[in-house]
Amino acid sequence: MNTRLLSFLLLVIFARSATAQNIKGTVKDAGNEAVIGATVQVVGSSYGAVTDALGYFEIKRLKPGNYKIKVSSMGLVTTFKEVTLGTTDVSVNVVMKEDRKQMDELVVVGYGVQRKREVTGAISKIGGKELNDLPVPSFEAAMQGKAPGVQVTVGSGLAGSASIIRIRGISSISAGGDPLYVVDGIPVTQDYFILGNSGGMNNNPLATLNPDDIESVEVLKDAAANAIYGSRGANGVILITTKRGKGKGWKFGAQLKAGVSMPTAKPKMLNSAQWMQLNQEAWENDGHSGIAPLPGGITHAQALATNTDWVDKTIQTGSKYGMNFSATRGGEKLNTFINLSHDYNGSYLVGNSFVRTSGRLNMDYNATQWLKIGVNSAISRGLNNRVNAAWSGGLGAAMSTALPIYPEYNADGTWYRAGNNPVRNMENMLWKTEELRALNGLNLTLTPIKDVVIQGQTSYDYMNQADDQWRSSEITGNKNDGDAYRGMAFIKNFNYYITATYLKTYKENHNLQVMVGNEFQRANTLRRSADSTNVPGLFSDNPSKYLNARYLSQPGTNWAFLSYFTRATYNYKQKYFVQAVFRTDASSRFGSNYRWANFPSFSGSWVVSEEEFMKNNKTLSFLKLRAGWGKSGNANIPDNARFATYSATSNNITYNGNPTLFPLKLENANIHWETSDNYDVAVEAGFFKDRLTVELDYYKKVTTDVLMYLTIPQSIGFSQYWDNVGGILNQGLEFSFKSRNIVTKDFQWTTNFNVARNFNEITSLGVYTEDAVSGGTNDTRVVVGRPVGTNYLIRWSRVDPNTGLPIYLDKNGNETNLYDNKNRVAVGKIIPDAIGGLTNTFRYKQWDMSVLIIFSIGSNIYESSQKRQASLITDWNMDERVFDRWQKPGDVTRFPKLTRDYRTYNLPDEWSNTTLWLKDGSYARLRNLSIGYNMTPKACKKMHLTSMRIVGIATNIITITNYDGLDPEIGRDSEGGSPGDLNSSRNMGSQNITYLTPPQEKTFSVQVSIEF
Amino acid sequence: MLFTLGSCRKWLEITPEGQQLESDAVKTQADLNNILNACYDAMANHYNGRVQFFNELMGDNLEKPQSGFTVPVYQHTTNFFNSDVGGLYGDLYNVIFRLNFLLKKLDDGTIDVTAEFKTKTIGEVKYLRAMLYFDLVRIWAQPYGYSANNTHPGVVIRKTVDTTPKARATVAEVYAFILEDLNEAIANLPAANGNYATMNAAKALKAKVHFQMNDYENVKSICNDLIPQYQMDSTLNRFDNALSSSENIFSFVSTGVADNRAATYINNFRIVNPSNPSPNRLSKSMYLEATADTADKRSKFYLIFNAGDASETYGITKFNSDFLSNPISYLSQLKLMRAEALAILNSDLTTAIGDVNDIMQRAYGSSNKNLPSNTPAADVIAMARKQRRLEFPCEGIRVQDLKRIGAKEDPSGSGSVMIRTSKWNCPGLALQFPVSENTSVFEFNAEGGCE
Repeated sequence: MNTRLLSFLLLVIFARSATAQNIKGTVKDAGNEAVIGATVQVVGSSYGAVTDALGYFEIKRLKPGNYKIKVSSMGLVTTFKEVTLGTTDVSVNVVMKEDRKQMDELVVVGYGVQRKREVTGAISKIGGKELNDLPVPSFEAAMQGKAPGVQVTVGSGLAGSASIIRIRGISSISAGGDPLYVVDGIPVTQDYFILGNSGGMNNNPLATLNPDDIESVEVLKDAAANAIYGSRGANGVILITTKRGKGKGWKFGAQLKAGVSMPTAKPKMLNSAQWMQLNQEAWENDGHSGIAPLPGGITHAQALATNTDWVDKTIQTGSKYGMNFSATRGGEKLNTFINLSHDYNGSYLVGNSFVRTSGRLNMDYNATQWLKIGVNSAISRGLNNRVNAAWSGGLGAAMSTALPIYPEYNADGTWYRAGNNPVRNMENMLWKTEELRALNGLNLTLTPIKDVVIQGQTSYDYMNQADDQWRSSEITGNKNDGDAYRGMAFIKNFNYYITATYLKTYKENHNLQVMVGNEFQRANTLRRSADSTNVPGLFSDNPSKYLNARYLSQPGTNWAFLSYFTRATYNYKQKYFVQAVFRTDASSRFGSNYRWANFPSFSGSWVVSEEEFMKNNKTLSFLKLRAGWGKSGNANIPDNARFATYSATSNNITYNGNPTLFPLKLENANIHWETSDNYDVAVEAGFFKDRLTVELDYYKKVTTDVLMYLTIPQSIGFSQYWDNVGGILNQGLEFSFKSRNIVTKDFQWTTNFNVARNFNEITSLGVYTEDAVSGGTNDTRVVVGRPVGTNYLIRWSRVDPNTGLPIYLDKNGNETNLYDNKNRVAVGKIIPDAIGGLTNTFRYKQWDMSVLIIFSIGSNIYESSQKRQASLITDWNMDERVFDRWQKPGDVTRFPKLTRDYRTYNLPDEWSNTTLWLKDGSYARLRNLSIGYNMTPKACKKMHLTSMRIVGIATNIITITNYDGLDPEIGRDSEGGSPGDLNSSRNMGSQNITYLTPPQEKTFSVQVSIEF
Repeated sequence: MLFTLGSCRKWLEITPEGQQLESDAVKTQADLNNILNACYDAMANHYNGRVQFFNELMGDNLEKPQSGFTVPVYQHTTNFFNSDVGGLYGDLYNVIFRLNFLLKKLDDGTIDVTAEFKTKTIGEVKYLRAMLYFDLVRIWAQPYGYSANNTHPGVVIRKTVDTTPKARATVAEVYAFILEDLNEAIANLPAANGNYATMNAAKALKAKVHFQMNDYENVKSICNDLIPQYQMDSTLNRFDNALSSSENIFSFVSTGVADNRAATYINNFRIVNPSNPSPNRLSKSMYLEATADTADKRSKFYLIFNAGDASETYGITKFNSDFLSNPISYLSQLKLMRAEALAILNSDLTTAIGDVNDIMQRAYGSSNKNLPSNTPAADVIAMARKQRRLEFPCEGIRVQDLKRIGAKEDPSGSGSVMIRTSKWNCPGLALQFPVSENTSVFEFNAEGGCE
């Protein structure tokens, strides 16, 4: 190259730099988050740019002068900025405010966020504030009634109780109906059977998650939304996003709350005189004369002199209090969120409370233009002071085998022991479950080159549960200080994911985003136990005894998932959207031939309101049509389901002096993924500038290869076996609206309503029949052509007015005196037809009021314990409903004549099931009423506060139902905690089957919140 | 990502900790031998008076149990929720699974075994499997001879390891399968095999199967082959010394209190002290028949409680021990089978009478009560049958005898052969299958229908 040419090129370069400068900068929203994909345009020119993943833009080659730039992005108010460009580049920072139009809120979609307008799947979002306001046992209970198609059944009135959540019905039988919970990208441990099944309701791992930490919860309902979690999305995905630092500088918040708890209904058990009268009546009905014998070693005279109200002795007015302190900081480089909280949640059961202490630190550090580092760290301690309930004792005993004729103490001052004495059991037992949990994630976001963002996160979810029990010598009968036991579980859940995203806008109108990713998760569970005799209290209070205890360890269990996924979204002019997702997953639970499964999804939407012909429509401000199809899967089976296992080689079992070796469990090398085909079509509309927004979804989910823990023909050689059998259909409609009915300066009234209708049907069970699934006690069964969880019972016809004896119906509907299991038919279902919620919020000046009504229509309740509480006199107490019984010929009554012998009713035993105990489970409930007052800014300023709010909250205060039992909202643990058990609350059989289940709690509380 | 692609196989190959997988457990001939031994072990536990008890409950030797799921067995009213009945059914088929697994492993060439081991093991497997099917088909199906060609439903036949639900085979098919197994057992088993199954054990069982089929020619020929090989034992209670007895053909090995393979006999019938009746009691008809002749030394085994009272009950002292021996096949059975068979065939009555008299002579300690040499065939038959009831109480033989006789002598169920108050072929005398069998291919037994 000669010098002349070089000089010319340099001249050109310098000349260009002298006359063409750049405007560059970042675009952030009010929360100091980078706005990705915002369009930055120089008004009146064709110059422009689109922001990258860090919100950075650069408009090149502008001449010096005055310019006006226009920054626009979906969901944010279009912002203008004046820029004067001299001979050097100019940096501008643009902060965009949120556009209040509801259709443009940000939605978390799994490995990213989208504007609601862009979303092509079915996602319901619940804001953190909506979850924080309710005093609930665990955050998930506060989701009730707030998202269409999400059925939340709060476990019971026990503190820390787990809720049963079903999204768009249930598409699994034995492999669990629980959704996948993902906290800040970490699929977390939520199994409430970690330490087995005890006490009537197990410790709930989700209860340690502080609701005050939550920014939002997104429920991914269809495959277009959850295919990105394909492997485990069959029952929906719940994404929990915690709060992060935002704004400018430090802000502090504090909250204090206090309240009381009581049962929604109190059992009306018989008193001593009433019980004895009915016992006598049964005795005489059975053809005896004289005084009827009494149970529990009680003489007639003693019984007459005793009248113990065991219900009163097992319930109380529980107290609740809590405090929360948060600090947030926003800034250019560093965003911080710190939250500390302590919460005491006492239930109405004597001795029962859940105490949560938690701390969270979330930080984001913008290290460079191309690197951002994020940290999520939470530690928490949940202390569950437990009591026996339901079938296990306590209030359950007060409703059953603790008879009013039994005293608390004998005349000599010793405990009464000959019959059930729940006070003795309670006073002589200590029981605490302590859970320590650390949930930590480290997140890196890199922008190595323009338009490409790489994000990686690694996380560790560690949980340590210790179930400490102590029984005094009064219970154990050993002559020492008592026996202590500790059951322990250590769960290590490691996860990483890495994604690479490519963002590109062509000619302003074509917007493309492609992401590829890889994720791996491995969990390890170790279980240990320790026990010792002669300990004066819990191991936690007697560390030296613990050190010398006998230890037992169980083999650890391990599972792993490996996944690769990609998501491509494209939109044209923010009007036509298409999305394709492909995820392939491998699970260690399946053999190598069946390990991998593919979960594709395709979806699209059309924002009709962006079309020219709609632009001037004054009524319809927004209209979007969307449709999607995709596959999702379920692999929720025990880690060793596929293996044949054998006795240990040295098993100490010999025959003829020689060793033995024998199989323990069948192999199923062919077990594979349960998969669902999901279809969803929906209309989303906004009227009157989005004052009213409406969403209507139709969905269909066809599940095949359903994982079932089969009760197999015993002629096979074993009685249980995991296999893929049959199919399930779910389809339904979801409708919701949000309406700002009245909006004036001083008064606002908004209404949110949602309702979902689900139709569920088992379409096939292969060659198996209704008794095929293990664990279907209480005659809840799987029946082809009926929903999962069908009440399959012998029908009760009536009480014969002449004899007072039961009349049943045979299979053909003819009356019969015979109780024959062949006459069982499908007569009810535990899944409701429709569920929903209605929230009205009123605001007048500084005052506001919120009213949430939830409803559930069309399910049945099987009141399983009533078979021992009405007409059949055993060693159980009864409730006042038994008064409607047959006493003499001609009586037309609900219950037959009293008897002490089940054979009088032609029953095979006292546990027989009929439709007499099957009830209408529909209800509507005033779930929440809150009245709040917000201090005026002026008053706040005087107190050096940013804001202050006082709110009074009442929950579960009114219930409308035909159900004559205690409480129509019933979810409970199973009688057996084995993973495939139909009756496990992981599955379906335990919902709406009540067995002495404690009613829900009614609470009244006050909260004071300040910010400064 | 490339890293994970390369490593994923290892990451996902997770085997359960602390549990022995089949691939680790079953690798050598010794492992197979241990599995075979575990089959004996399991059967020794199931035939420890338990299989026998279910038979006895159906028959006329016992009185109604006090409570529980055995009551409907006695009442001939079992349904598919009866967990006691289902438990036994499942336990027997569990052993069949093990046996079928052994056949699979002997055949698939994955484990090196000697030819001698293979032959012997096939013989033992088929012997044990035949024993199991013989009891399954007798407890859960109507007896051989119930229908003209025995096309009535029997039980599910599983010859291989498989997990598909199956329909019931006919009774004819089940018996054919049992005989096929026994023929192979006889062909493969050695003459001597320690305390394990021998060729003669298979032959003795085959004689019992033919006897149940009312096929007396085959009973005759097998018994003629076996009987000369054994000697009568003077011991009255064979539970004291079954394994070492000169009559022993096959017994389960029961060596002590910690290794007691007669536990259910003992648990059901043991009388802790003379004033304390056993949990399960004998029927009045059994007691009266057994004690009618006090010269019969066997009558001393029987006790009466609360005599003359409404609560009068009856017990047996044969099982008053901490542990007992467990006889399965022995000479006395063959003798009484041959006696009845020959008498029915009306051939060689002398041998038949001699066989009965061998039993009588031991019972009475003299030949005083022996049958005369000119006793007519019908009387020999009657005495052989009576002696079977007196010799084998609680061993589960009586009810099957009555069914066999019913099928032969009262094929129409006219009521001439009764089991207590029930006709021999009433539906409830075949126990109901457990609810787990409830698939679309399976036909349950009819229930009830017995007086």
